[in-house]
Amino acid sequence: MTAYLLRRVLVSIPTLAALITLTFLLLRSVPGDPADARLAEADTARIDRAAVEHLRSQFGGDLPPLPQAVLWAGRCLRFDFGLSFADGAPVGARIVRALGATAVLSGTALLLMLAVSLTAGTWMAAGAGGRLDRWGGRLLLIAASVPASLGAVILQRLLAVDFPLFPLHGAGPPGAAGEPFLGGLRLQYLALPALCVAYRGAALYSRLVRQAVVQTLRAEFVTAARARGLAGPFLHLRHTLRNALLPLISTTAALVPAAMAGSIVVETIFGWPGAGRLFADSVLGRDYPVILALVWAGALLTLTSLLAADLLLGSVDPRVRVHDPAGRQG
Amino acid sequence: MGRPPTGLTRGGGWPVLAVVQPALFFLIVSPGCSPDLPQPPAASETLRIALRAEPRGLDPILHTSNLSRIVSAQIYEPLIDFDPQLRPVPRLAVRWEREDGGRAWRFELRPGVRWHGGGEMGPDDVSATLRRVLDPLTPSLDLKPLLAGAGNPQITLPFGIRIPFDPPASDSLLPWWSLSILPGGAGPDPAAADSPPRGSGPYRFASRRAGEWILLERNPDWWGGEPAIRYLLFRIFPEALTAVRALELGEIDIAMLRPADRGRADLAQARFRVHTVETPSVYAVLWNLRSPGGMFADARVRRALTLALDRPALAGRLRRGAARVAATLYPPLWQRGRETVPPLPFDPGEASRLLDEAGWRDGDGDGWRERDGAVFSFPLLYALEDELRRDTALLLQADLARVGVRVRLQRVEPVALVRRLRQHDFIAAVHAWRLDPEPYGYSLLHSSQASGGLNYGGYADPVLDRLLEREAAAADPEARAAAGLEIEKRLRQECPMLFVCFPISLVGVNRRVEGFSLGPLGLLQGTPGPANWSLTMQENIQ
Amino acid sequence: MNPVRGLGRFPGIALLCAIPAACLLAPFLTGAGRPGMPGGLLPHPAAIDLDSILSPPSARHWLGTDLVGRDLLSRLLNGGRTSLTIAAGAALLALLIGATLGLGAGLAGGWIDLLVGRMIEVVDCLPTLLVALAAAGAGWGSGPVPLTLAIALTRWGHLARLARVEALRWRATPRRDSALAVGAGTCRLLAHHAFPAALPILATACALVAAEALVVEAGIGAIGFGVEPPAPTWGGLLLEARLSIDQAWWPVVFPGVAIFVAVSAALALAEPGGSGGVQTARPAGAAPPPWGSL
Repeated sequence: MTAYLLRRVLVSIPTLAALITLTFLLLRSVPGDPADARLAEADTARIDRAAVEHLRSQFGGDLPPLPQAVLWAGRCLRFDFGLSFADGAPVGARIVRALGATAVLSGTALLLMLAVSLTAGTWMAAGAGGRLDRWGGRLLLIAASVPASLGAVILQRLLAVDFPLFPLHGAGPPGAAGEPFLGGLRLQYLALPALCVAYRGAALYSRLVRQAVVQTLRAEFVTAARARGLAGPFLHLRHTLRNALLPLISTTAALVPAAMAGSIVVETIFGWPGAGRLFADSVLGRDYPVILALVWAGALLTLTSLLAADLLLGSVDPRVRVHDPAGRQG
Repeated sequence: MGRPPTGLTRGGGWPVLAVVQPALFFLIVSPGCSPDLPQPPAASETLRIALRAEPRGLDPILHTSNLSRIVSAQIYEPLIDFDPQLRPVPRLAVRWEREDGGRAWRFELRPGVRWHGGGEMGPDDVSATLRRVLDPLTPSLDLKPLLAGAGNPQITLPFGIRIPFDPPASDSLLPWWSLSILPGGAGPDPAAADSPPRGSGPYRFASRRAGEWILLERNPDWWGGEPAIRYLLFRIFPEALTAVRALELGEIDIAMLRPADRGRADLAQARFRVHTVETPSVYAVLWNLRSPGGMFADARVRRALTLALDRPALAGRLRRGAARVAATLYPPLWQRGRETVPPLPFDPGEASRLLDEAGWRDGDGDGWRERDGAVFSFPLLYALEDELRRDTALLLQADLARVGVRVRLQRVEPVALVRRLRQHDFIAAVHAWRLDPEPYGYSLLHSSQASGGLNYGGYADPVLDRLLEREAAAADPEARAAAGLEIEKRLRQECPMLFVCFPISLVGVNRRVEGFSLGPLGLLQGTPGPANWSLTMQENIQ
Repeated sequence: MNPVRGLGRFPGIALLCAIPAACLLAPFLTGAGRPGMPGGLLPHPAAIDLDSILSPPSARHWLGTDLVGRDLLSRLLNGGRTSLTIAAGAALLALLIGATLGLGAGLAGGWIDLLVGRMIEVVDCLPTLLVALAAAGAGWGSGPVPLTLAIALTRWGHLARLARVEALRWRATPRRDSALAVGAGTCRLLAHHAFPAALPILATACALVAAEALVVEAGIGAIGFGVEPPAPTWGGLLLEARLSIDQAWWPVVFPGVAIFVAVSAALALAEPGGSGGVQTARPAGAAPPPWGSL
């Protein structure tokens, strides 16, 4: 087991190295450098040519990929990400804030997804074939086919404008400085963005859970359990739910990269200061230090959670243990 | 399939739980649970402004975009300001004089101006700021050209400064509006948390949350009197639709509107009014005169292309009046009463005739013109920065198709577009510039500016060059106006680019803002500004 | 929960077939060539009509017009061809790459498994925005083909992961041993045995990739990657229209309905028996729900 873990960690190093190198290469091929970004921002009908050239050299003109990548990777291990090209602020603090905001949004969305899908899925499975099941299924399908960019606009209109139940925009009461991020007031602002991120996933998860529960309920061991006299909540918790969780785990693991990237659309519409927005703004503004720092941090978090998910899956379904393919242990 | 044995439902409780779980979540997050947390500023004493993106920085020397200026102009002050009619108003300078045909500028400064956080403004601050701008290491892209030729400033008595110029400076006051004075010339240090922006303006920096908002608080010691509005809150709305909705709800006091949103203000219960102002920007389609096909070398072709585009329809119907057709580079605002040159009309018949004359004819009847076997077809680049660029591109494609010219549209990311323009790696592109009330035709159209400058199309016309030089060297406004008129006539005749329109900005302002004024220099720019406004009708907010 | 069954057999299937059929007919209905040229029952999808900007459904424009006065029905039908081709192409390509690599990794184990696993990780962590920008900058961006490739190359990772898990499961079953006993080679193992075992799960995941593709292709259009305007796509129609939703519902609702029908069709195709029709003891449809981006 420990050997497997160690092997996985060691093997992650070339992955990270490959990732950073690829990112450097991509940044070199992207047309336009930070000096062009400044020029695009200024858009005046007069410029000082010498100043533009000076700016170009200041931002390190061409990025030679390999030596620069190695140097930079070394600094990253010390968590020294440098200063942003946009305004000179330290990059580390900025990405920590952004990643934190994304984590809060993504985490809440995930919880919401799980809660709603487990209950809705079980509910529909309990009445499988009945009217609730059929209409619920249709409703879920409609929800699943509305993309977030549209759904967010509609939900914002319904729940923040027409019936003002939630704040329209922002991650907290604007202008209140020094406020802790997870204060009670902030949850208000979290609800609508989290809903917009989660509704599609919840719709599809519900189908998943429903099918899992229906399958399991028909399985032999459940009939045996019922014959022994188990019913109701006990049946659910001990037998059906465990089996329903199986596909959920593997699919949740697959969600992590997307969750790390943040939901750019929802963050834009609601003004949530997350990593998705920060990444998109940095790419469009050619802010190399921030781009590289976000790719690095995102990759670290993703690889860690993928590893955790693999281990979890292995412990739940012995056949899938990678460190023990024949399932001989445990 | 059949129904499974209903052991689940008989157990009971599950439907209830299914409702209770999500309800519990939303109950927790709904308003009501508010532990003891710092309170935001009260809406009754805060002016809330929506920004479409976060200002890159608040240092007025380094960051001169409109977005940064909206905020930094409240914190910092220049020597001279302008009113909505572009007349100069004393700010940090009470008197000014241009000596000796422009060999020096002399300013007498206002005494008793205090910096935020302590200290008094003096001539050495002005001197330090100027020296910082002129320093070759300072990346101030568009301030440097304005102050070209400035030498070492000398402090004069009793409380003034004299700045020599060699070559002599023009009589334009624009540099002295663009140059905001910083204490000791030093701007805020973003890497240090305790180095906020410090200026002399009516509002001082209070706090900021990256990506969300910037809060300014009034400066009680401001020389112009304590402002009536206590706080200025700039909220960042990356999505324009949300900002308009916020304006409707009364959560925001000032927001930019799109033409389609104008109608929302006409509703009886609307909380806001619409103000319009002609912005000094010009949208144009650039032709690369050095393109391999050589299509745009002929002036008749360029003129035909201009005649073929239905610019009045673009400005009137597509943009619903939120634009004015551009005859040439000079907006009416800047022409200051001199004779103007009317735009070329929309005349596809004449355009066809000119194209025929230039040798482009439809030989094979497929609807597209050819010449020497090559079809008149080219890609048009545009960036999706705003709807006006997209509308221009779409309409141009449709209108040129009617006269037999085939246009392929290509969306390009804004920075990539700038890069391609600078490298002359394009054939046609939609672009826009922010203009000054000073001659700028030189930097956009003089042949010397073709490589490395803003003359992206590579236009070289000796007649125009001479006229542009004459305008730039003009000794007084009359001479400049006369040169400008000649330039406009030449531009109308030669059509080096397709001048499309000058956009008109629509700003939605909550009715509770009293004294609101909007000038051509931009939102919240100029005098009078937010320091002179006040907030009433407190029921108009959410 | 099969939507086709829910709708009743005949009307459901008819609806699902009608949409692609109408889309195929579209060029004949609208007349080829430039806008303004005569011919066609419907206006050309790129014909700008400044007199009827954002006008509601009427006799002249059955589904209304969009922001620049183009007929929505025409754009919807013409866009269908592009969108459905891209979606189907991307999904099948992702299936091909993902299934091959994933099943191969699961069956072979060892260093192949290690390598494929790392490839999947890199593909997952690489930001698509950067890749799209670099490709657009190099001039490979425009048109449906790079778009299809891009979507397939970013989505194959998940399919490969699913395929690998299924392959590992299958390896532990006695069927594998019996297949080896009759002398099956690697290729036969893969194609004839492992793939059908994994197909139910992969099919749904594939259908979801197709569903995502319908919308994703519009999202990166802003940087110059993808189908060039004025050529319509369903995702593009949605994205263009959603910001004027407060004024006009029709440019949003009709493309939305089209996408909904396409998604239902894809899912119905992937799970022919609907729920409970699959024989395995595991539930079908173990595909990741889409995250809230696009």
